[in-house]
Amino acid sequence: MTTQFLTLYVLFWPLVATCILFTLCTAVYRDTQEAKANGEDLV
Amino acid sequence: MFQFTSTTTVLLMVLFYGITFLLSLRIKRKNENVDGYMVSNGSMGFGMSAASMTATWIWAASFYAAASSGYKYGVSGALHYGFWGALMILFIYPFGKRFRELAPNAHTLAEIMHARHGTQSQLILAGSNIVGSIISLMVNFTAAGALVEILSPLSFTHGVLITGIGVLSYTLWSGFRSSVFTDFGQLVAMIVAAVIIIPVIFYTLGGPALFQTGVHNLSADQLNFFSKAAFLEQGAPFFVAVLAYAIGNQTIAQRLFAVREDLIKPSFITATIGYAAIVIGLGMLGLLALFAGIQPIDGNLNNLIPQMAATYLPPFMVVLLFIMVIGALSSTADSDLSALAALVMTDIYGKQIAKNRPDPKKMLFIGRMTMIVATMLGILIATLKFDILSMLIFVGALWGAIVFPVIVSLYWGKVTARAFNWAVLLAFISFLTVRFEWITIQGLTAYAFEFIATLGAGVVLGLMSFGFFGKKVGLWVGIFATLALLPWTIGFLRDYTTLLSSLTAYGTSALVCTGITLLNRKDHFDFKTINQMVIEFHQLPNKNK
Repeated sequence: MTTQFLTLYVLFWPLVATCILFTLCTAVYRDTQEAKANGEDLV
Repeated sequence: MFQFTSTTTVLLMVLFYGITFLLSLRIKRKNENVDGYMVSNGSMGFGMSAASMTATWIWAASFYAAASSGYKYGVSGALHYGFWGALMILFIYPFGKRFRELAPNAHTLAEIMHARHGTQSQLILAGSNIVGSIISLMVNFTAAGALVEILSPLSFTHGVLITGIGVLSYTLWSGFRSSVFTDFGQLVAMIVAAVIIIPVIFYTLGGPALFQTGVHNLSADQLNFFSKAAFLEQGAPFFVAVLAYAIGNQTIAQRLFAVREDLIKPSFITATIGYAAIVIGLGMLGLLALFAGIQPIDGNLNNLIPQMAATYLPPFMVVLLFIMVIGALSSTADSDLSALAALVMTDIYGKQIAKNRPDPKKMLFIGRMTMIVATMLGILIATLKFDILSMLIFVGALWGAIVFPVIVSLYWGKVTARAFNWAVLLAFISFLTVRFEWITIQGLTAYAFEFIATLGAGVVLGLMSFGFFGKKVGLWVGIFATLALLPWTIGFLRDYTTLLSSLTAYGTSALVCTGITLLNRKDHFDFKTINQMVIEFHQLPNKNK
């Protein structure tokens, strides 16, 4: 197993977690705007 | 090793729970309605649902166990914890869509089982859910106590008490709505901490060069990406539990009934990826510790993450880790409280005491009292420091016994309450017999249990395939897997008691449930009636008028 592969293997997960964080924040922002526009509760 | 002062620890926890409490005030209503208290508005958006699912499924033990697995089994270790844990979320969604289709207004899975099979089956499912949630609550409080004990001069009991009171404070008034709303903030804190901590520790330990200098610290098996030991000792028992945890855990069912129906799939897929990224990522800390030749304090693998943080991170990053773990355990503990409240409100009061005509105000009061009693119970059991692992294994098997009967009851109209109840009972007894070796597992007895367990493995794989590809594929996968596995499992499984006992529970429940069902020559159950029996409680006073 190469050093490059192992480095990628360790750092891949924080990268994916960052993408998920971005996706969720964007989605919650949209949910909030939509709820406001419709006069509904977010949850 | 770095430690906070007592004052700093108390301040950090008060700040965390204070902010969470203030957040929950934003959604507080003077008059909560019972359905909102249990499953929100039933049309939650994608972001909130996925965040809540991820935050709930990640608990403090996820970090410790993933890192322990990485340390123990090497390169594949963290995967064998995080990957199967993530699959638990993924594999429930096809079944979740079916549950929602049958009962859009449901609050608990046991409530659906009440409509399908009646009181006994409902109480079996509700009882196993309640036991599971109390144990989960206790485990999270225990983790808080352990963390506070390691990172500060405060005692274990201080940590448990502050966490119990903190979680109850923001969950009590709005129940599930508070839990979901605060989950988002807690998850953001967890991800930010994980994203910073993992690379910082990696580069502090030497970065890529660590893999060259520390390679001698790993055995050949630990360097093998396809390690047999990692799969058999860590991955396989987890794989078997995939469906059991998904079906047996009310926190998942609650979110299934809360999310907008068309968003079940994207929410659960995102939660699967999110869970895998965070948990496997933190599991990498165990692998890095192995490469660096770090020895866990007192030989206890649970100390690895706090130990690495306290040794290699500056104090403000240790604060990040502290908040991450407190956030993880609090998001799961508040979900457990909401789950317990929903189970007692719906399955005990709504169905058994009020006979489907509950007084919503009284119901809400019962929900809040349930949370207070459950918190006290969780704190009390946590301070007794029971063996957590044994209890988790016990609950896992308990849930393993109900998976086949629950799923098949909601697809096959011929399944009777008798088939359900006997299947669960005998599966549970067979599990106990094997797990605690009530009889000697050797000779013909061993062959018999290995055969049933192999059937159980076929059932697990068959059910997973059935969820995604339908009945035909599910049946063929189940039959083919059983036949293909037989030559490997006979004479082999007896050496792996945990795996043998869990699979036996699946095999027995499937055999008994199918056998009794095939003897039933009466009419099929009409699934449309479930929706008429599973109702929204907050509309009852209007209906009565």
